[in-house]
Amino acid sequence: MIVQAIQLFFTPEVLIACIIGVIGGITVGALPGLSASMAVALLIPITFKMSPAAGLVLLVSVYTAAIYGGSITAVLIHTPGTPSSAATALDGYEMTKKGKGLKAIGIVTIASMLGGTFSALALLFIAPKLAQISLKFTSLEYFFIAVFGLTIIGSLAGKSMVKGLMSGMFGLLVGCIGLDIMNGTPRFTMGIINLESGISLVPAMIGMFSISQVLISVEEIRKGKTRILDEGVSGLQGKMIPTKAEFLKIFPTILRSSVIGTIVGILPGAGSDIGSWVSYNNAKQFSRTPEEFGNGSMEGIAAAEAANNAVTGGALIPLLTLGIPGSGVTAIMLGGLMIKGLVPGHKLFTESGNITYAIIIGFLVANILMGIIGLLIAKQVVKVSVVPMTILCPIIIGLSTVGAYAINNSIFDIYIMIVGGIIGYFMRKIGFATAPIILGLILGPLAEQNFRQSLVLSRGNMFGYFLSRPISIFLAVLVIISLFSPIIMKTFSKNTTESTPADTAKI
Amino acid sequence: MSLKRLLSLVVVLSMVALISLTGCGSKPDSVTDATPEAIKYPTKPIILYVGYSAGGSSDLLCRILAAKMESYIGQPITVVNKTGGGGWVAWSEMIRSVKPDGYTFSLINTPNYPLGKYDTANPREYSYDALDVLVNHVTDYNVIAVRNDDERFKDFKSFVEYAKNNEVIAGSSATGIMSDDGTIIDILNKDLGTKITIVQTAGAKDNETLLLNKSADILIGNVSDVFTGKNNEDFNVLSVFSPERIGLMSDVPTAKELGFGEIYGNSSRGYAIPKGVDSQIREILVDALDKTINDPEVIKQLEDMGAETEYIEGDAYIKFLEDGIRRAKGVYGIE
Repeated sequence: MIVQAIQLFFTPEVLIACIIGVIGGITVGALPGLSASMAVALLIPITFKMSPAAGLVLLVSVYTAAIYGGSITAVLIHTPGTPSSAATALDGYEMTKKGKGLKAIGIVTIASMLGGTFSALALLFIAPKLAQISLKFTSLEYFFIAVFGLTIIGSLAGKSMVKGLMSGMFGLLVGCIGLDIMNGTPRFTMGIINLESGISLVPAMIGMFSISQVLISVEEIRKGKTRILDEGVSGLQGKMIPTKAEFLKIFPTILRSSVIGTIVGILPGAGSDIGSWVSYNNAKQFSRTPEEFGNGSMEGIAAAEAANNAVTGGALIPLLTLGIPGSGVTAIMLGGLMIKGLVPGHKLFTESGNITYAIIIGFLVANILMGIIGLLIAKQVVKVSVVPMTILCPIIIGLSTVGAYAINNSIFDIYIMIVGGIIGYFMRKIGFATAPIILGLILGPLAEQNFRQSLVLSRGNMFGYFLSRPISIFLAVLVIISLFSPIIMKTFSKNTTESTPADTAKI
Repeated sequence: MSLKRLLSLVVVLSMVALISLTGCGSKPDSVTDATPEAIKYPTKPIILYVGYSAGGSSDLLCRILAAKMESYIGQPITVVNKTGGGGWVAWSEMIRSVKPDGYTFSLINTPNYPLGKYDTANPREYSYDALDVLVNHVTDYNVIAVRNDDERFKDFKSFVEYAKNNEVIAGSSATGIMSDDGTIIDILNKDLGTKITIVQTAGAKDNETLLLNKSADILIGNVSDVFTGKNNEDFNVLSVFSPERIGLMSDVPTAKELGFGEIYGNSSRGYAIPKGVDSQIREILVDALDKTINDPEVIKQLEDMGAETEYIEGDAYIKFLEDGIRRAKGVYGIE
């Protein structure tokens, strides 16, 4: 069957679909607002006319490539193309400012490729077994995952923990806007119907990251700084491919992040954005140099990138084996599968096995192809960081506005973007980080919904219900460790070696 | 250059980019020739509003329709997702600000559209006749399903007996009158004396997951929700809440034939235009919808997704909607 699948993959139609999917996906991903889910949704009608294998290979290739493409702009111009790349912007942009944009892109590309390939192999060899994980997690487990993700706010806080927590709380508060999930009552919508489904994440994120960055850049232009690069940095420097020592440093992170990403992907309802944050948090806790995180850490970039691409393969696992989508994008793909008469389930791997395996092989090849194309174009795209800011800023504003509008075809979302940009600008001016707001906005609703669901599922005995679920207990312990690990680490490192004082000049 | 001009430029640019992205070539809101005598329709692409996000089952239905309808009406149909408010962002705009020129029509979903007015938590201002309703496309009847390996429930009768004496949990993605699933649960609890508790979820897929991971005991959803699970023998569909057995699952008995009375419920999707569209234009549109919806290729595509076509037009469609409203009002005792 595998042989048949390989033969099917190497038919011209499928191969071309794979290549177009990768190139198109990188492009769409790099444009802010035009996210992976949108690209896949718009492509589904186009696949009607294609053979099942070609159509689905196109969709999976676009999916993984868009998640990668979004990171390029996150690194170079602090504009995450998709929400999955927000974590990458933190360290990637710092590297770009230091003139090391090429190396940052190199790490993004290698980590994305390895993470995606890892998940593709998991999908190819052990999908049915892994799919069972998705059924072990219920509302209570998701609640703890969301809380675990929220503990990262501490490590995103920058100089002041209090300010970081305030940002996070603000994000959680903004996340409360919209219809109450339990009884449909509008909360803080002030009668505005567009607010009923909550503050849209993508416009808010574009505002907080891109628009606020443009405003800061405009200010710097007036002060005489014309390029993204920091003063004193003469030009682009460094090689794209990391040195052996650097690679050895980031490789364990990539491996760990690939596993985390794949598992988060398998879980229904948790996508690339959550995967990248959880993995970033984890990498910081394991790192020997956690003080570099937020100041241009290669480990930070590698963690976020390996994880967000590993989510893509992970998310396909329950989709294909159980018909339960592992992420928002795969939920859209489900329709594309069904229309082709490919009904998810074990029959997909037996009766129409050659098509299914051709799709999986296509996904594997797409991840590798994405890496190759990424490395080939890296030297060219990185030149963006030496383009004068007077040219770059209007372009970013234009693309961001198009993106904010396009996600829901809504002018209202452009207002959200502008308000987000202004709030983000002033917060950054007075030393508040914006990343915790986005994190609160992503994870707050997830935590609330799942906590309230588990209250019902516990049938009135919450504590007993918690004790009867070992995975929940494990995750709760993780949350506690994550909260107190900085203190534990501090006492631990005092006993061994005196660590160098952290460079906290940046936010 | 004033900021306002810059902003409007940016907005226009974004519209142009969007239109080129969705593959249609002309401006959506351009003024039409004001010559009512000679009807030349359509002379430019037609927009179809979907109140739900891209990729969902409503969106997919519209994209399937749009792809085929072009060949019957001679102009491309552009699907535009206007999301939010459970569909009401799109419908409010249709009612308030869309020009009745026949170049914009909208998907309407039951129960959300006709029953929005009776939503207790968040009532809407409009009833179903605020728009000119054209035709129904698919009717997705409610079903009750359990896990195939669940020893407690072999058939609908044994389920009712069990649920009279034990609390059972079911997922539902909206409450009360605004949810066809929730309404069926309320009917069962009221008329048959079952003790079903609802867990609120974000969508039909979540309800399915809750059943599979054994958090929920039963799934009360629609035919399309259990279609995959039934084919994979994960789900045992106990009963369907429709007047007659349905084609996609002809082996599943109706609640009525099992002797539980006329318990009916469904979620349906149809199309509407703003009031005041020229009658000739309306006729051309309905004719094209009729041909597209009854096109064998479209019917087959929808069947593969678990959606059963039920074409209803004109007065029969109005009666269909009114019946649904009356039934729901009866359950909740609304005058």
